Amino acid sequence: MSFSPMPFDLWSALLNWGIVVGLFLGVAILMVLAAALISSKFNVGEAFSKVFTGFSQIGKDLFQLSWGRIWALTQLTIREAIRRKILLVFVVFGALFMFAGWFLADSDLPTSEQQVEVHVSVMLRMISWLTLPLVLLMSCWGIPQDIKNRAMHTVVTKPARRSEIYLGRLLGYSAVGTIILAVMAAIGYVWIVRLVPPSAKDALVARVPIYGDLNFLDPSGRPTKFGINVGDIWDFRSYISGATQAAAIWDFDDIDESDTVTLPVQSDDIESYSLDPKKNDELPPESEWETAERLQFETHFESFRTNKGDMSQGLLCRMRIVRDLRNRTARALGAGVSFQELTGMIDEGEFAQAATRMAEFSNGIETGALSVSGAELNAVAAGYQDFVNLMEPFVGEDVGFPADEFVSTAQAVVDAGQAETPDTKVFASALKAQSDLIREHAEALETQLTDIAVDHLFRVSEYHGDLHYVPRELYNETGEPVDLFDDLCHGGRLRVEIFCLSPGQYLGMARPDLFVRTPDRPFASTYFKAVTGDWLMILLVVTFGVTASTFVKGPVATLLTVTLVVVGVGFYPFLEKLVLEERWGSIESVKRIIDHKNPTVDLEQSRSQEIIEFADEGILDGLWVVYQTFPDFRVYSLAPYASKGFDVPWSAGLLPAFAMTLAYLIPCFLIGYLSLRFRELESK
Amino acid sequence: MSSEPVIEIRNLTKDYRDFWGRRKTRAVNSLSLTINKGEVFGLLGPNGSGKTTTMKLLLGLLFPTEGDISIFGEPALEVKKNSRIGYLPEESYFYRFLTARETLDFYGKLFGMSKKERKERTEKLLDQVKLNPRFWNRQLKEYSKGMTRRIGLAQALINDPELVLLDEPTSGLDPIGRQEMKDIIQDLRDQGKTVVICGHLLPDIEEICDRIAILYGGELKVLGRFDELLVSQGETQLLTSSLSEEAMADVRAALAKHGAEIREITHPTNSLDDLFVNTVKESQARPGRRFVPPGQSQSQTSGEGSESAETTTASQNDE
Repeated sequence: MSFSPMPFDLWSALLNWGIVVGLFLGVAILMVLAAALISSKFNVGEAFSKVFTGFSQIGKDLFQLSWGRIWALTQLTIREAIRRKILLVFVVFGALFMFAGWFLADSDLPTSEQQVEVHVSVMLRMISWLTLPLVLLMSCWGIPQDIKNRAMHTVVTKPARRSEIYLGRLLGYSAVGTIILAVMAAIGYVWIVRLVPPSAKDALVARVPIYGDLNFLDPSGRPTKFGINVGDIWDFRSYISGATQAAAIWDFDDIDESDTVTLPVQSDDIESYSLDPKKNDELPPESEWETAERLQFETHFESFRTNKGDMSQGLLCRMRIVRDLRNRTARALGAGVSFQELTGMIDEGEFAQAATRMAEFSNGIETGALSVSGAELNAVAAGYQDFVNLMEPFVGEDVGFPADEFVSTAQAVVDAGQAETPDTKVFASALKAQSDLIREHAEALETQLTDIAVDHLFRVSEYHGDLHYVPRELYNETGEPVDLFDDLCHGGRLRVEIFCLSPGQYLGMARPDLFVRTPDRPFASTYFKAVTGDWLMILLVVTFGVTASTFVKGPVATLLTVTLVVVGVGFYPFLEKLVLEERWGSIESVKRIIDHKNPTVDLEQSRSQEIIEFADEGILDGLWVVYQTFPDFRVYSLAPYASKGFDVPWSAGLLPAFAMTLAYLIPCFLIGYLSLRFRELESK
Repeated sequence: MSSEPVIEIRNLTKDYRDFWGRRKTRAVNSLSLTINKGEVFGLLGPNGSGKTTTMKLLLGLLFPTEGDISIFGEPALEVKKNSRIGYLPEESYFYRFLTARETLDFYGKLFGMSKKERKERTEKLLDQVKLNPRFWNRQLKEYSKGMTRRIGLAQALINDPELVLLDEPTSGLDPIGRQEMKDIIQDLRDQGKTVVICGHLLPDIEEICDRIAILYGGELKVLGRFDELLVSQGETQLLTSSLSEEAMADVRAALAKHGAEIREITHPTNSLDDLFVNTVKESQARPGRRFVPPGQSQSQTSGEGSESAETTTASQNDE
C-alpha cells in the first residue's frame, strides 16, 4: 500500500471553508460598496441604497428559483448533448475496451492482487480520462455558444432568472456526465468480472480495514515516534531492529465482536497464514477445516536483511496483543517533568504511595515550593486527558472504585492545566482531590488496572503479507485464560505490538501495514464507490466549466478550467509543500543561481536581501491564497482503494470528496449567477 | 385602446463603451416615450438609428446608461414582467436542434405552463402561424428562414402575452407570409393586446400601426398617429367609379367653379403585393390553370401544369 488513509476532519474543513468564503465575500462586498460610492459621486446614502437594492434583487433571484424552469433547461441540455452526438464517446470507449482486453489478457503478473489491480486501474482510468475531457468541453462551451448564437436572448426574455439558467445548464451537463459515467461504469464492472482470470477472482473483494495509530519503541525500549531509517530515500516505512526491545505499536480504537470474521480454521490458537498461495500448499484441504469466529489481522511488513540468513524462511516476529492499563495509567499520571517519579510507583502497583506523593506535589504547588511552567501544566493536562479516556469505559461497571468520580476529578485537572491563564491554586486543589480519590481506592485500582499480554510467533511472508486469525479465548504468558474482548479490549481499545526476533535483521512497517480486517464487502461496493469519486470530480469540473463560461468565451473558459484541473491534480502537492513547509523564495532562487550559491549557503544580510525576502514573502502569500482557493483533486483519487482490493472508506475517502465538491458548488454558483446577472448579453 | 400606459420610457440614454470604459457611441439619446394599452406602435428609423437597441433595453438585454424604463409598472430588469411579454427577435435565435413542437414546449415550460396546456397551445399556434404539419417534428436546422420566422412568432405568443414586441416581424417572409403576419397582428389588436413593431418595411408598418415613432441617430424625431402625421392638409382626393368623358367634364367645371386646381386624374392600380397574394390564393383555389400569353387560347397550353400560376395571374388580371 502506498497510501495511509487518515480520517477527514469535517468540522475543521468547514471552518476553513467558512473563513475563506467569508473573506472573499467580505472583499467582494467592500469592492461593490467602493464602486457604488464612486458611481454615486460619494453620496453615501445613495451608494448604500444602490447596494441594498442590488442585494435585495440578488436575494430575490436566489431564493425565488423555479425548479420547473431549471428542469426545462436541464432537459434542454441533455437533449442538446444527445442531438449533437456526444454519445459517440461510447464508440471510443468500446474500441479502447477491446484493445485493453487484448493486452491485459496476455499480461503475466505473479499475484492475484496484481492481476486485479491492473484490470481495475485500467478500467477506472479509462472511464475518467474519457469522461472528464468530454464534460469539460461541453460545460465550457455551452453558455458562450448560446450567447454567440443568441439563443440565450430568447430564453432571458422569458421569465427565466439567470440563476435558473446557470443551474439548469449545470445540472444538465452534470446529468450528461452522470449518464455517460454510469453506463461506462456498469459495462466496466461486467468487463472486469468477466476478464479477471479465474485464479485471481478471489482477490476481487473489498477489504474493510480498521487502522490504528502507530508508534515505536527504540532498541532500548524507549517510546519514539519513528523507527530506524535503513537508507531509503522514501521514508514511508520505519524499521525496527531484530532481537532488541525495538517494537512497532499499533493502538486500535472501537474494536468489538462485530469486527470478527467467520473463517476456516485448524486450531483454537492464533494462526498465521501467508498471502502467498505457494506457501500454503502443504496445508490440508480447506474442506477438512472447521469454521469459527476470529478477529483477523492483515500485515504487510518489509524485510531488510543485513545478512542473507535463511532465505527460504521469512524473518521471525512476535505479535503481542496487550492490555496495558497499568502502563497507561503510569504514563498518564506521571506526565510532566516534575511528576515523572509517579510512573515508576504506579508501574509497581504502589497506588497509595503514588497518591501520597501527589498530595505532596499539590502542597508544594500551593505553597510555591514547587514551580511548574505553563508548558508542563499542558503536558500534565494531556496525560490526565488520557486518564479520563482510560477511566470512561469503567463508568457504570462494578469494578470496586467510582469511575465517574475519577473521570470528573481528572477532568478538573485537565481543565486547570489547559486554562489560558492557569491558576496554580486551582490546579493544586484539583490534583489534591485526585490524590485523595486514588488513596481511598488504591486497592481496587491495583486489582483492576493491570497489564495483560498474549504472544504469538510467526514468520513474515516477504512481498506478500500475512493473515493472522485471533480467537476470542486466549491464554496469557502464565497460561491463564484471557478473553479477547472482555479482558484485552478496554473500551474498544486494543494494542498490538510487533517485535522482530531475527538478530541482525530489520523489519519495516508503516501505519497501514497492520490492520484489523473486518468482514469483506463485495467488490462492487468499492468499485462503484471509486466511480463515485470520479463522478464527484466530474461535477466539480462541470461547475468550474459552467462558471468560467459565464464570464469568458469558450476557449478561455476551457483554458481556465484545464488550469484548475492540472494544478489540482498535478501541482497541488508541490504547492502545499512550497507554501506550508519549505517556503522557498523564487526571487532568492534566481539570485542564488546568478551568484552560484547553493541552497545550503547562507546569504549575506543586506538591504537588497531584505527587499528580496520581503518580495518572496509576498509571492508566497499570493501562492497561499491560490493554495487556499484551488481545489485539491487528490481527494477524488479513490481508484487505488478499489484496485488494491480495499473498500473505499467513508470518512477518509468519500466524505472529503463530497465535501470538496459541495464547498466549490456554492461560491461557484454565486460567481456564475452574478456574472450572468450583470452581463449585458447584447453588449457591443 | 385605453390611455393606460404599458411602456413608459423616461430620458433613456444608452452608450456603448470599449474595454476601458470609454464611450464608443451613443445609441439612444434622451428618449422619452409612452405606449398605451391596446396600441399597435411602430418604432421606425434607418439602420443604426437605435430602434433595436431600444427594444433590447425594453427586454433587459442591455442596461440603460441613464434614464428609466417601466413596463407594466415594473423596471425593465425585473424578470417577473416577462411573463406578460412576447418577443419575436430580429433573427431567429433558437435552439436549432429542437423540433418546432419541442421549441414551443420548451418555452411553454419556462412560463410554467402545464403539459396539457403546452400541448394545446403548441398545436393551436403552429396552426395559427400556418406551419405545415409535416414540419412540426423536424429540427429547426432544416427550416427555411420563413418557416423559422413563423416559429419565432409562435414562441412569442406561447404565453398569450399582453404586450408583444416584434423586431422586423415581416423580414424574411414572402408576401403571403407577410400578409398572414399582418393578419395575426390585426388579430392581436382586436384582442386588445399591445404590440410594438420595430422595423423599416414602411408599407407594412403603415398598414398595421396606430402610432409611430421615428428615431434618427438615437434621438426621437417624430411621434404621433398616422392620421395626424400623414394627412396632406392642402389637398383633397376623390375616388369614384369609372366616369364618362361627359361626366369628367362636369366634374372639372364644378371644381373650377370652386377654385380647385386638378393636379392628377388617374385610374387607381393594385399594389404588387395585392397582385401576388391574389394570384397565389387563386392558384390554391383553382389548380391546373396557367399563364396564357395574349393571343393564345387556353386549350393550346393545357397539360403544362407547372405554368398554372402565371395562367391564373393572367386570368385574374384579365378578370
